[in-house]
Amino acid sequence: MSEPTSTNKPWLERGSSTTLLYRLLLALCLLLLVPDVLDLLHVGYHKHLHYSAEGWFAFYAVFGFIAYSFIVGAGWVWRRVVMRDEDYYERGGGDG
Amino acid sequence: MAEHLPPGTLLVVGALLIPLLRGVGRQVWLLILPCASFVHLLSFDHGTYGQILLFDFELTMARIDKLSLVWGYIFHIMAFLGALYSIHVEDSLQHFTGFVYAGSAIAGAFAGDLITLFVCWELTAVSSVFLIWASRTERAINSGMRYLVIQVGSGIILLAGVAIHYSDTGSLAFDHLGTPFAGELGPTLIFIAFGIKCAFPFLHNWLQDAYPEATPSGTVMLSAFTTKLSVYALARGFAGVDILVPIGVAMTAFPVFYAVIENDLRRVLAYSLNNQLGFMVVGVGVGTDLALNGAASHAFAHILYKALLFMSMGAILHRVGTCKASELGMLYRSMPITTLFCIIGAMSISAFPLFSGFVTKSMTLTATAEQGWNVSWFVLLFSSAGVLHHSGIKIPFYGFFGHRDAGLRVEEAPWNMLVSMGITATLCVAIGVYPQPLYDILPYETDYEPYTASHVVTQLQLLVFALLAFAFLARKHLETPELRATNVDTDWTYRRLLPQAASAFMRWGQPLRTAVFTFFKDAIHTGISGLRLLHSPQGIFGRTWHTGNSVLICLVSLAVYLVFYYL
Repeated sequence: MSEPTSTNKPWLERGSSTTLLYRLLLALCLLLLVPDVLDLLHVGYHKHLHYSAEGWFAFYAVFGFIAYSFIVGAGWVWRRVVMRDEDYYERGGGDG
Repeated sequence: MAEHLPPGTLLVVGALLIPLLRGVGRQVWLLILPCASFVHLLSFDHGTYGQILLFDFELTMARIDKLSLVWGYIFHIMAFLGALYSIHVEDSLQHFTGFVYAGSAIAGAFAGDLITLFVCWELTAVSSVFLIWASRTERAINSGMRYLVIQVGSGIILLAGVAIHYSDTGSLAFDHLGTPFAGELGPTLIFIAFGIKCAFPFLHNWLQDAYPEATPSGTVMLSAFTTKLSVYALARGFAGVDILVPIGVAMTAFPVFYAVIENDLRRVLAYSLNNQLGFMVVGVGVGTDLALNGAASHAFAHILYKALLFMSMGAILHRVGTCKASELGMLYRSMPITTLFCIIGAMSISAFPLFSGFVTKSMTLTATAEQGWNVSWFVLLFSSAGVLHHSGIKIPFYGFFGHRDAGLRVEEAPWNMLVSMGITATLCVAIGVYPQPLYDILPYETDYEPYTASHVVTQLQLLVFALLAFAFLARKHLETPELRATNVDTDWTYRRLLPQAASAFMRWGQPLRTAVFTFFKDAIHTGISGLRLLHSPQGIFGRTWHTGNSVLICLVSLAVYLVFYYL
């Protein structure tokens, strides 16, 4: 069976579509920063705060991006510590 | 008659008929039974029922109040959805044990005393293991055995704690039990027993070991009852106990790092389950009305969206035969409806606005901040981003999309699975859009308003920017790849370390063992020789004595006695 070309692939799997979705996501991110700008200018939107850090511009946005990236990065490190062969427990004295 | 039965017992008694029924009759019975049990529950007013005397112990079989009812309602809903999801399964064992399991969990949630709780606690353990063994693979048999040992062990610790608590206080009432690790052994043991079933850190790995080995429908049932019964038990017995906050925080954080590298998607969900339990445990530990409402509502919503995610992975397992991310890709083409339901579950657990996680989990975070648990709040926020990673993105992405077409062309999930997933997904959205009916059944009065502009915006910022990080890393090929592997966890101690230590002792401890065995053999041999010396035909007690000698011994003995008497 031949590999489907980019034109007969489903829309979601085309490179152009994923690029479009990525750009839409970027646009949505920018849009979500607008309320923080309004909060800085004290116009129409006010953050409800428990901690002063929450009041920093784009605190939640930066926190979300960094936390996610940290988790993925930690995954690379953690895998080196705990990863074993798939049949690790089935052989060599394990109990399966 | 029926009004004397505690809630849940109808399910257990009704389950006895299941092995006798076949075909449509059994299917109808499977759907009617949870509904009948639910109607039975609704017939109770608040209060205590079924007081009996057993060996001078006064037991209260059922205590109906707002706290127990939250668990009673959701357990019934899940018993019905689980039955519907598995209605095509011909295996009577799964249906029978599934209902006994659900019924005993419901009865446990309404237990008014600690003995009744113990009985239900053990019954959930013994019945649920059959849902694992029903896979009938060697891995499942071994995993189920480990699960059973740990679960029954939890019950034994509970019983020991109850006995000591009764001895100290004279009470078997299942109310607030005091503070663990504060000098009293009873509450401490009970707390540890609850902690094992709630998968506290270092006591958790039975969950990730056993749940992914169960049948597709078995895992759905397992995900709903055992751990949530223990959350209820903590809320009833240890609300406001400070140590629960750091324990819960650790539970939310550490599974994130396992979930990110795990290849088996049902095991990813098992780690995710651990993470979600952490939020509930924090809520119980904070202990204010808002926090306890948060724990209860989160348990309610979580049971639904976690079941929905397990259902969608179960549908993949049913059709494809594996749930490993490395083997899957582009299944959305073949299973579009299941994909949609999975995405709804993923958005619910990630707490997107208009989905159930948004209106429940935030109560716990708000209460945590209000009570000044500052570091805990930041870790919970970090864990929320972790939830998006493993359950919000990884499950639907690697389950139904992935980076390549794995060439899997399968049928959509069976109709009953789809209907069950559809109802569950509808409930997830309904709770998110209109949470008031859920808030109305919570244990405490609440005026919590989830849909403020600030809450919606900040939550969207957190999630959408985390989503951006995913997209960015994926485009740069920096995502952790899905690899066929085993990741060792605390189960390594009893699956590898202890067996190897025993094996090493057998190998290297040979001289010591020989010395021990020789010592005991010689001791026994010496003992037998001594007995022979005394009692053999020629021995001092065995041979025949002359009468004169006997009289002489008696006289000498009496003379000695006389001397000592006058002294």
